[in-house]
Amino acid sequence: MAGEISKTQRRLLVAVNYLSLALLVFMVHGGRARGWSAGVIVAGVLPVAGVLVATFVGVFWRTGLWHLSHAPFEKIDEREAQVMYESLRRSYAVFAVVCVIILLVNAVAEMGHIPILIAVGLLYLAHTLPAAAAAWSEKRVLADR
Amino acid sequence: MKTRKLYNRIGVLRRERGVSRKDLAEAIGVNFQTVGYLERGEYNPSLDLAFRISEYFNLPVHLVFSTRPMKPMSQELLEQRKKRGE
Repeated sequence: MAGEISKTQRRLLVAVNYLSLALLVFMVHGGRARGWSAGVIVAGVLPVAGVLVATFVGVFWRTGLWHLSHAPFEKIDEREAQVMYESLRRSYAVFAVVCVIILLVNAVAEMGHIPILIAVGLLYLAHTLPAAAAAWSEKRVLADR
Repeated sequence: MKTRKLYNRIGVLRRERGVSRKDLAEAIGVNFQTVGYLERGEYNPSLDLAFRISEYFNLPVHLVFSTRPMKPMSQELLEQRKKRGE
């Protein structure tokens, strides 16, 4: 039975998803820099990774928004195309701002190169942002998958 | 882009004919959630989709869509008959 996920629930899940992503990157990258042992890093990373996967499934996968944001144009209807146009527009803007912040922090901290973990995080962000923008703003979303 | 709100009888016609949202969606080539958006007046269809919906119900497009709140179909038909002097 398809149940509706309220806008508040969706926004909360999106926020938790990206916060857990940021925490994951910080724990692994920061942990290594601070000399945390591998055991400590793994013990901290696993529950956060669990939250990341659970919120991904809850807000992007079960709602079909992930599939919608990756579907070819001819497979979606005119309303969905409109939703995706607006979501892509918003996600490009957010992604540009996030990239600028990372580049600025990188330049100020004189890190030299962008750590691979941050690059992976950005890749995840680029792929999920259109679905997140739709989850954030759509009036009604069903969890029917 | 700001657009006018369009009123429609999709929900009434669908229920009257005992058609599910999924069946209607399949027949007109949209996602079943889009039918819900259309019925609630939360999405204005393109001209092509409006014609597809009207053709599905076998009705002229002005009896399914309007820019003004729609009266019950029986009242509208009665008024049309009166105008024609029947």
